[in-house]
Amino acid sequence: MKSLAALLGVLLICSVPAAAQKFELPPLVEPANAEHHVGKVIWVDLVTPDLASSKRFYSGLFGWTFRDIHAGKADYAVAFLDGRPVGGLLHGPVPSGEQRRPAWLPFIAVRDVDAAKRTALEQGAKVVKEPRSYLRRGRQAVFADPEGAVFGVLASSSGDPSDLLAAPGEWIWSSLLAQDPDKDAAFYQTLFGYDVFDVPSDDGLDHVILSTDDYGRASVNALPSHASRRHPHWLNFVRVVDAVDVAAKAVALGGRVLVEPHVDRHGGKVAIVADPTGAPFGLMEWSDTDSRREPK
Amino acid sequence: MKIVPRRWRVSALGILLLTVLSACTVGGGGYVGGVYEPYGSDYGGWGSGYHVAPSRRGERRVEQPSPRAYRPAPRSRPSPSIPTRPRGR
Repeated sequence: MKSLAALLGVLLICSVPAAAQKFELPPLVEPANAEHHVGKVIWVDLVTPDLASSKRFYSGLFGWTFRDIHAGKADYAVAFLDGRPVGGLLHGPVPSGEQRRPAWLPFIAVRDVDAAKRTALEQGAKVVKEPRSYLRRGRQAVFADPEGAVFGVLASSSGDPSDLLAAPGEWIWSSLLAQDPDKDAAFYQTLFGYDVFDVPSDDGLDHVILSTDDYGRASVNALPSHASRRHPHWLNFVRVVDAVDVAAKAVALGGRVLVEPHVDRHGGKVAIVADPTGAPFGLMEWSDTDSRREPK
Repeated sequence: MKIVPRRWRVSALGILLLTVLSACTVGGGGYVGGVYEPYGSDYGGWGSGYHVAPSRRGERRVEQPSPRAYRPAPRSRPSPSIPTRPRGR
């Protein structure tokens, strides 16, 4: 009997960390829906070496609130705007001995993560993080495209967010900056079934729009030829009412302006800023008058 | 007297092993998301004509002089815009 009691004791001790380590992410959509929008950016994750500083910055800039999730070695915070999850902040040290920067990572909707992995590999991508399932979130993985730009795929178990205009403070757009937009657009077209639209540009460089469900989902743009560092990467934009005001606020909160606010293709202003840890992201104005003019 | 405790011990050992295995698999340390990237563009080359935003619906298309690696959407289709229906309407 003594040995049985000892065994049960060990059992209890072991079961406590098992329960405490559960990494339970909130569902993407609550209540769940049956919508699927393959090719749409449906989640964005930031990796940061200073979680507290990042939370202060984004809370001050966009009014985001946070719910912390601690599990094992992972410190993660889900960001909310008006009760809706808008992104995740993952704490992690910068890999030692490497010149790396924090980044916002877009997750693009797929139906089947493992099928997407097979196709991505066939088309020249690499697996950065193998597919993994999370109880209320779904299944996700991280790949690097043939040029090395990193992106995630996510099969949400609660459906995909509806196609609605992002509110100020929500992610509204994503752009891929690529060495060869022509070839990279072909890769993403094969993976997500995008319609690809070439659009006019004043700079003589290739710019295309990736579309599904007759909505623009992202742009692919040739990296500016004058840039000294030209590593392909994804850049995500938050909708703002006034890009000049928000860029100034970002600086006041410890960030930097990387590209000054200027008028873009749609008639509103965009700017690129970096948070205090150096993670770049975009600000994009989008006027509500467009919504009234373009019923869908 | 010896048989019952031995059965219990075997059962308990089995549960213990399963629990330990489970503890190893549900840990959150390997969250699939968040990746440090190599330093990207310095953004210094963004001139005033460098546009990355979505089109407004109905924007004209360009004629590409050379074949593309991707399959372009038909020229008759204008470049689409983003969803514009506000939340709650």
